Amino acid sequence: MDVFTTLKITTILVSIGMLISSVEILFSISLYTSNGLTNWKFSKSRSAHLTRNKEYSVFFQDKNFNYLISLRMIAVFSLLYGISSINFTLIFIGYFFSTISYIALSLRSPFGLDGSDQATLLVSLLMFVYAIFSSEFIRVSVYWFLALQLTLVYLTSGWCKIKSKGWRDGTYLWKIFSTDSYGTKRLGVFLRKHKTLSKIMGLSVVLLEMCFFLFWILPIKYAIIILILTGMFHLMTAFFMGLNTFLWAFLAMYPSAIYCKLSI
Amino acid sequence: MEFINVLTKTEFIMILILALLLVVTIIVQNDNALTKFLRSKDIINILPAWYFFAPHPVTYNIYLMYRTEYINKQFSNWQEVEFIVGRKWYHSIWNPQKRYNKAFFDLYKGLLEDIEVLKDVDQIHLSVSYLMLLNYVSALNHSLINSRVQFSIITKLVDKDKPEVLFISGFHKIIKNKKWAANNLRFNY
Repeated sequence: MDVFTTLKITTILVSIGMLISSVEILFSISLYTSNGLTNWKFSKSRSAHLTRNKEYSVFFQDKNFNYLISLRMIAVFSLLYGISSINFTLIFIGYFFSTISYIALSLRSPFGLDGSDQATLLVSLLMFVYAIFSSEFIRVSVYWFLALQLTLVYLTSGWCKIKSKGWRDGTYLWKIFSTDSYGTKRLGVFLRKHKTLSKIMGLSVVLLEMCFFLFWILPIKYAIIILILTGMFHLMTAFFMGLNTFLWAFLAMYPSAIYCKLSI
Repeated sequence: MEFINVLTKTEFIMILILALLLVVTIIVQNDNALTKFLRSKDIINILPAWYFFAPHPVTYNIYLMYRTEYINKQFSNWQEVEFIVGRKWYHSIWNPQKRYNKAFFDLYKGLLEDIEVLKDVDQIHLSVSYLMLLNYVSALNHSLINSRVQFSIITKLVDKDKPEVLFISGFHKIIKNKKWAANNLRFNY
């Protein structure tokens, strides 16, 4: 897999995630209005910097905020068109606008953001760096950053889980699936009745995450299996937990991982 | 050193920056004083937290409730603000509702952190999370004037039958006049 193919697949995957999240935000725009849960007047008071600089209010008040999110959608189309026509100017513009819009959303209100927003911001920012510089060294460094970051994601998550009794004995798994916010009622009820299965599933998740480091050690044909398994894990969390944007945010790092793996 | 000689100055600086960013992202995965300090400065939220439902995930539902005290001192029933609609198949592709729920949960977490930090718990009504929740429930009562609103956060643990009250606010007058609010409310944060 060459440098450009990695860029192409990364861009397509991250663009899908950005498009879905942008439209979701526009559909839940009431969250960001003056009567919404994340009213700007109060949100800005969490930081002296945001309060002192009145320029932020120009961009973050109500209707103007819609334009910022629309900017992300423009970025998506710029990226997709840029990739299809191999136009690096459009790719540069796309990643610039997407990075700006993700940073803007974080400044506007961190409330309501999740790990997929953080992952997409990192991918967007790093790919923006990629687009700025034509140097092969820098571009390959960007891929290595994303590949190592992906490893950090799974190892951190796995390590935090393995330290926790609730994850080791499966208690947390059936309890999470029993919640309205991140669960699926039927699955929660089923796992509560079958606690051994819940334990096995919980430990499987921990094992999968902790063993991600094997991706770097095993031959490529086995390393790909690890990526397929983790990809399926994200698919299942999308289906059973409603974490739809996580799938695209983390899949977007996979091409970098494959590129770096093939290069060693 | 031969490798460094091959790199241009720009390449060397960029690679150093990327390496530093990578090291910082590794450092902030540990819960310590340095991480707390770095995150307190990170207003653009670029430093990731890859804990993902660990070590102690959310295992309970929380609900935002509110009621109104009318001018005649009568109270309305407690009403629930519905953020969650239940799992649908299309949530694997499309799930805008999750942002409401997450925002509410983040505000609740913020409230707990503020309670921990404040020496005088009565000052909780000045915290960002409290004010955002209060603003929201006040707006739900937009048709009522000269009334007061109170909100609470309750939970119903998955293995228990009775709900528990996690937090209850004071009563607050519903502000209709923005000018009054701008002149009389001061936020020191």
